[in-house]
Amino acid sequence: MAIPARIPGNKAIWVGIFAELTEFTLMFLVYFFARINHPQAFHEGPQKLSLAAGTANTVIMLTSSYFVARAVLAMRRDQSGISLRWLIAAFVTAVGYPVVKALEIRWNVSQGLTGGGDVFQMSYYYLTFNHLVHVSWGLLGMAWIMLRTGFGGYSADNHSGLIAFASYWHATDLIWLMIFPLFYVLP
Amino acid sequence: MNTLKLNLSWLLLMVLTFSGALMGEYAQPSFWITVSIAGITALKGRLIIDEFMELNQASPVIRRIVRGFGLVVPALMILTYLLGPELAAFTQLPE
Repeated sequence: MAIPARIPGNKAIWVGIFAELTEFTLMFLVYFFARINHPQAFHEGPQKLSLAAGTANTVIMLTSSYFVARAVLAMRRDQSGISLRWLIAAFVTAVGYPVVKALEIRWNVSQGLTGGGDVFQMSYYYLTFNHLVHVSWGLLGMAWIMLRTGFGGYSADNHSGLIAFASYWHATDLIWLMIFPLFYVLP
Repeated sequence: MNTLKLNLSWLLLMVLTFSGALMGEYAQPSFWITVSIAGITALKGRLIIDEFMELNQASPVIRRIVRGFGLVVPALMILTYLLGPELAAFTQLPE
């Protein structure tokens, strides 16, 4: 008998993740369409943004994602207390993302970089705000998963909810890894 | 997934992130810079997909779709560097 293909977490979360990946794929196509039609704006754009803010948020997303992976690993070993500590570390780290974003936007506005600027700035605000919305949903999800873990809702044998959340969070991290070079690095 | 692999993956992701940031600070447009940035982006994506999401052990359909997503942006970086003006002309409405 064939072994059924493994779906991490549950089917519902993968519908959500595929919707998220489709949405951002379309936005990436719009980015490249704008880039080939306005090469000068996109060549000069990254120099106007704060590379430090973009790098800080990349480190935050990757580290938070790593902590979530450690939480899954701990749960798999039936160490729910340790798993909760990793989730708390992930949450505290991830809260840094909207904080850095707020500081970045304040700095942008002081430099005259607004959503009403050139095509590079419009693309930047559109994509990064969208990503911020996805991170915010993820933070709410993470709070719920922390509560479930804290109240003994998961065990080594049954923690598909934790894996479903982890899959979503890693996918949101993956999308940021694509956004970061497009706006902060690629000359 | 094990602790050592996760730790090494995170460390490599940090090294790649700071390498990319250095390019953002100093690099001028060129083919090899574009290829390097695309390569770093693809490698970081693959590490997340295989090591953090563990899709290397998951359903092949899910694995292929997500790995494919991780290649879209790097591929378009190189394609638009090489064929930017031709693609721009192709996407314009005729006068």
